[in-house]
Amino acid sequence: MTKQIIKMTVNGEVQEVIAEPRELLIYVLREKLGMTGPHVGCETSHCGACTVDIDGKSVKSCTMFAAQAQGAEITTIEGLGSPDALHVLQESFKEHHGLQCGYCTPGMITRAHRLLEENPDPTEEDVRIGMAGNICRCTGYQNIVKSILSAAAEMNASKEAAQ
Amino acid sequence: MNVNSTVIGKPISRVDGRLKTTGAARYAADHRPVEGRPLHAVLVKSSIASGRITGFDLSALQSMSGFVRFVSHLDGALIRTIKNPVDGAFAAGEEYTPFENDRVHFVGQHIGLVVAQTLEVAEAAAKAVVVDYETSAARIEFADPTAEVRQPDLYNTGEELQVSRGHVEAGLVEAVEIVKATYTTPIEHHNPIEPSATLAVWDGDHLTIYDATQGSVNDKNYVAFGMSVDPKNVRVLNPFIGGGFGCKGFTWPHTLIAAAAARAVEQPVLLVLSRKDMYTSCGHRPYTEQEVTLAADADGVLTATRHRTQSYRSLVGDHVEPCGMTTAMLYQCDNLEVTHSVRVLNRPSGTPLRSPGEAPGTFALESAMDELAEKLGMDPVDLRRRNHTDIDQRNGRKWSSKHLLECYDRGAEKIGWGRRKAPGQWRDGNDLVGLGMATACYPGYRMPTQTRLTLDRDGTLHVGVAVQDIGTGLYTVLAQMVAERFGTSPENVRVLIGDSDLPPGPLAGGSMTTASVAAAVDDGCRALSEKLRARLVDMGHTPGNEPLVIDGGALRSGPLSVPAAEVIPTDVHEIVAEGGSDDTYGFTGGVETDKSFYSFGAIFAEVRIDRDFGIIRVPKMTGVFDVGRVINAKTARSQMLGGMTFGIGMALMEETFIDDKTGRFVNPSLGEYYVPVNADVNEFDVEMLDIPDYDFNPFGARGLGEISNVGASAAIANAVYNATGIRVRHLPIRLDDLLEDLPR
Amino acid sequence: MHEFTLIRAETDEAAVSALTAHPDARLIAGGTNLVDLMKEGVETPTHLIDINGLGDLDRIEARADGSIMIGALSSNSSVAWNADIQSRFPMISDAILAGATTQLRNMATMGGNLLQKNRCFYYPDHNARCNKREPGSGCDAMDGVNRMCAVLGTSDQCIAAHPSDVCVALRALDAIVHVKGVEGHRAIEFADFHKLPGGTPHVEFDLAHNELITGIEVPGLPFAANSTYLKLRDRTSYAFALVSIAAALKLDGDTVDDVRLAVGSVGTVPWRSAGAEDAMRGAPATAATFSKAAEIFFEGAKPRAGNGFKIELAKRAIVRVMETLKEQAA
Repeated sequence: MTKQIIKMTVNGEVQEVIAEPRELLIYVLREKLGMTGPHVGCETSHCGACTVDIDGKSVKSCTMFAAQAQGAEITTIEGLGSPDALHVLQESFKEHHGLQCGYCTPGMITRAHRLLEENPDPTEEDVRIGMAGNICRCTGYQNIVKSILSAAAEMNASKEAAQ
Repeated sequence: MNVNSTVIGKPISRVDGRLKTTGAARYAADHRPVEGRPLHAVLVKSSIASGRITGFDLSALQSMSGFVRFVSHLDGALIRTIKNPVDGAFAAGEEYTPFENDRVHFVGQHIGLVVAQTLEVAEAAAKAVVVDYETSAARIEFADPTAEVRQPDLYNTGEELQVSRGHVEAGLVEAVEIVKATYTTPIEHHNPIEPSATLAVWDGDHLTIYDATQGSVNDKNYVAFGMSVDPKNVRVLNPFIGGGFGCKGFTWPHTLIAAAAARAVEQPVLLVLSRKDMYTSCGHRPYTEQEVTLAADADGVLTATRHRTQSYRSLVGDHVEPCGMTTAMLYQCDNLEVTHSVRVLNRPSGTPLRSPGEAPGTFALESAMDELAEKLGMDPVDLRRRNHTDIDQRNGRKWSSKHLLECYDRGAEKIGWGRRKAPGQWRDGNDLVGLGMATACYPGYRMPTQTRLTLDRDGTLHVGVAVQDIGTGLYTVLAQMVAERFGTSPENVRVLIGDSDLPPGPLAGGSMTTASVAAAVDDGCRALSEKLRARLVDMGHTPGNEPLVIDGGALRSGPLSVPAAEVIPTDVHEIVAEGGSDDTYGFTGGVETDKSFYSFGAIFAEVRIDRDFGIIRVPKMTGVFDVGRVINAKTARSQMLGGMTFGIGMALMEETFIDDKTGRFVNPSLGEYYVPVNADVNEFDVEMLDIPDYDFNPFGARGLGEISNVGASAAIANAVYNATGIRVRHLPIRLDDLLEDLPR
Repeated sequence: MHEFTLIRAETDEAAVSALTAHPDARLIAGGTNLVDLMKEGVETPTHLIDINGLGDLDRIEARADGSIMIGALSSNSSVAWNADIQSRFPMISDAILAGATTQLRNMATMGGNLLQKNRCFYYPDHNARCNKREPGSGCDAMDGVNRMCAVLGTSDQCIAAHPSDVCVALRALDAIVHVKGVEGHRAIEFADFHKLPGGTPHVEFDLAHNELITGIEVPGLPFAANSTYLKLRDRTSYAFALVSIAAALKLDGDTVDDVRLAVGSVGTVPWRSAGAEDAMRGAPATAATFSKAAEIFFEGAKPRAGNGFKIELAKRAIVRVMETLKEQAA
C-alpha cells in the first residue's frame, strides 16, 4: 500500500518519516524515531501510557494514525527534560515518589504537564479527574497527585517570582 | 546494626527516578539489538477450548509484503520437550512444551507465531491464519460433574495444603455460636501496565533475551533447557520491569517461542504480547469457592475452624490458589480442618497473583470473623484479640517477631473505630457510612542469594546481584544497604541488577527479595571489607577495629584515611569480593529453626454508600503493618498505598468473566476489566511499626509487597456490612449486590 | 491491522464523492472508536477518508433564537467547555465531561459520537456470535454476560445498550442531525437517527453510506438552563454508564410546567418516554410524581438475567435527578 512521507515536529525537531497509512503514531515514534519513552500498555486508549502532546493537547498515540499527525507539533516525555536536566514535574515525581515500576510514568507526566497548562492551579479533585485517562497499577495514585500539586505550586511560585 | 542509621529507614528518593521520569529507563520492548531492527512477532492463539489442530491455511499470508515466517508445532522439534519441574532448575507457568503437538487445552493457547518485518504486517498476517480444528468435549463450567477433582498435597512452597488437627466436630459441639458460610472470589488478572515482551537475539549458539520477567535466572535456565543450549550461553536482561504482580514470575511459553522463532529465522525477534494475549498467556487468579465454618464459645474463643477451598486448574498448569494457609496459622484454635481441592478444566492456567491464597483466603476468613463477632455481639477487633496467639498454629513455633496487637490498637485509633455504629445506623446526607477491619498477614520468605561487591579507584562501591526491581524500589534499597555497611551515602553506590550473568538471586515473588538480598549483601560487604583491610595491612597500614568507612573517595578506619586510588593498584582497577547466603526460609528444605516468620498488619476501611444507588466509595483506609525493619520509608509506604488500592480493585471492581459454553474470557481489555482509577482513591493512612526482625536477616526486614493487599477486601466487605446491614459473600461487591436491600 | 488507503478530503463534497466511489470506505475524524475496531478487525474499510481538514465543521454557533449549531467536527472537549453550551444546555457539558477522559475528549468529535458503536462484550470478539457484527450469526449476550446490556428497545436479535453519554442529552433536547449527501442536505430528528435493532441490528443509523454528518442543531429551550446529567457507574471515572439520566425541569410554583427526560445505557438507543414526561407535566413536583413517571418510563422493559438491576437503579436515579433540578429551580 502506498507509503507516505509524514512531516512533523517532534520535541522541536522537524522529522520526516515514511509510513504506511495503517501505522499508528505510537509505533512511528517508537520504531522509526527511537522515542521509546511513550509506551504501549493496552492498545485501546485506556491506560494512557502512550500519551503525547499534539498541538497543545493530550492525545493517546496508540489510537491515532501517524498520517493524521501530518504537520503536527508533538511533544513526548523526551521533550520535557532529560536525566541530567529534569523538568519541574519530573523532579517532583522523583522526589514525591510518584512512580514505582515507571512504565506508566512517561504518559503520566506528559499528561500532567498539559493538565497544568490547562489549569495551573488545580485542586486535588481537578488532578484526580484530569488524570483519569492514565492508569497506574502500582502506586495507588496518592503520590502521583502529590507530585503534580507540588510541581504546580513550584511552577506558580517561580512564575510569580519572575513577575 | 546501626540503629541511628542515616541511611536505613530513611525516605530516600529512588535512585532510578531520573531514568524513569524521563522515558530513559528501557523496558523489554524498548531495547533494540546492537545492529539493525528486530523482526516483529504476533501470536496465533486457539479459539477452541479442547481438541486438535488439523491444519493451518496460510494462503493469505504468502502475498503479504513483509511476511517472513509462520512457526507452529508443524516445525518439528523447535523446542525441547519440557517436563516441569526439571531438577528444580526452573519454574514454568505451565508444565507443557509450547508447539509440542497438535493438542489444544484452552482458548487462547499459543498455537502459532507470525514473524514479519513490521508489527503491522505481523498483526495482519496473524489475523489471516485460518486454523482447522477437530474439537473434542471441553470441561469449562466450574461445576461440571465430569471434571476430575484433585486434592494436591503441597503448595509450590512445600507447605501442606490439607491440614487437620484436633477434632472439628467436637469443637462444634462446644460452641455457642457457629458461622458457616460460602464465600467466592472471581477470576482476576494481574494487568500490569507493561504487557509481557521478549526480544530474543542469537549470536551463534549464544542467546541474549531482553525479557519482561520477574526472574532472570529462572528465565535463563528455562530457556536454555528449551533451546538445548548451555545455560552459560543464555543471558537474560531485565533492568526495568513495568510491574508484574505475579504474571511475570514463572516463565511462560511466549518467551520460549520468541527464542525459538529468532533461531528459526536467524534474526532478532521482538514479541510483545497484546493486552488481550495477556489474559490467556501468563496466568490469572482462578475463581475460588470457600466454605468457612467458625465456632466459638461465649467468650469468643474459637473452638473449631474449617476452611474448605475449591478452585480449578488448567490441564497444563498446576497452580492451586492456597486460600486456607492463613486460616491454618493465624488464630488460636485446636480443632481445625483446612482442605484445598482443584477441578481440572479446559481453562487457561492460573498462577500466583499478588498475595496468592492470602488475598482471597482472608476475604473469606476475615468476613467470617466479622459475622461471628456480629453473632456474639462482640466488637470485631475484640474478637480477634481474644483469638490472638504467640504460637504459629501450624507448627507450634514462636513467631520471630509479632506485634499484631499493636497494629490493631494503632489502626483502630487512627481510623476512629470508636465512631462505629450498629449496622445501617450511620447516615450522612445521602450516604450510609460504615467501618470495617481485617487482619493482614503474609509469610516471610528467603531464598539463597549471592552478591558481588566491588570498590573502584574513585571510591565508588558497586553491588551486583541477579535480582530485579519490578517497581518496588530495589535499586534504592540495595544502594542503602551497601551504603549503611560502609558508612557512606547511597549516591556512592552503583547497583547492578536485572542481568542473569550477575551472581544469582531469587525471582521477585513472595515479597522475598529484600530479605534475601539483605543476608547476601551483608555477607558480601563483610567479604569486601576483609579484603580491603588485608590490602591496607599489605600496604603497611594498621586499620583499627572501627568499621571500615568508604566515603569521599577514601577508606577510613578510625584515624586512618587512605585514598581509594592508592588502595587499589592501577593494574587491577577495582577490588572485587563475593558473598552470599545459601539459607532458605519459608520453603521446603529451609533452615532448621525454632521460629516462624510472618508479617502482620491490620487494615481498617471506612466506606460511604449512596443510600439509593448502592455506589460504594472508600474515603478512608488505614493500614498498620508489622513488617520488620523498613529499609526505605518512601518506597515502602508507596508499596503499601499501592497494595491497599489493589485491594479496592479486588473488593469493588475487578472480575474477568468467562463464557461457560466456549471457555472464552469475554472482557479481556482494560476497557472492560476495571482497575481503580485516580478518582477512586483518597488519602490513605499507612503506618509501619518498623520493629527489626534480626532473626530473619541481618537488616531485620521481612518484605512487604503483598501484605497490603491482604485483608483489604475483607475490611471493605465488613465496612459495607456495617454501613448497610447487607452481607455480601462474593467479590467484587457492586451496587447491584446492594440495591434491593439498602436501608433507604 | 489490514491495509487501507488514506484519502484526505478538503471539502464536504469531496468527502461525499469519495464515499460514493468506495462502497467499503469509512470516514475518520477523531477515530477513537473506529481505530480500536479496526485493530480488532471488526471494521475493515478499504479506504479511510480523513475529514479533519473540512473547514468550517468545527464551529459552535450560538444563535439569537436560543439554539446552538454544533459543527460535526467539534471536539467533545471544545463543546464541553463552550460557555454558551454551559449556560444554555448544561446537561450537554455535564454529559461529555462524565464520559471518557481528557485525551479521548480532545480527539473525539461530536459527529463521531453519534456513530459510536455499542460496547457489548461480544461485539468485538470474532469468536463470539453477534448479529450486529455478523448478521444472522446469533447473540451470545442474550444468555451470556449481559450486565451492561439494554432492557428497553431490545429484540430477539440484539440487546446491546447504546453507550454514549452526550447522545442521551441530545435526545432529551430533541436535537436535529444535519447531513450532506449527493442529493444535498437533509435534517434528521434525533429520535429517528438511531435505529432500534429489530430484525436488523447491524443497521444502526438513519444515515446512507455516502452521507456526511455536518452538524448537530440543538433547538432553543430556555428551561434547559436548569438541566443536568447524572451518570452511575462501577468506578468514579472512566467507565461506561450502568445508567445515566439527562433531564431538564421547569416549575410553575410547585407544579411541573415542562420537563425533558432521557435515560442512557438502558436502551438499545438513547431512550425517551413521552408517557413519563406527560405524567409529570401539570402534576405537583413531588417525589410521588417523579416516581410515577419513572414507573411509566420502564413499562415494558425486558431484563435479562444480569441486567434487571438497571431498572430499579434508573428509577431511583430519575427521582434523584428530578429532586435536584427541583431544588435548583427553586
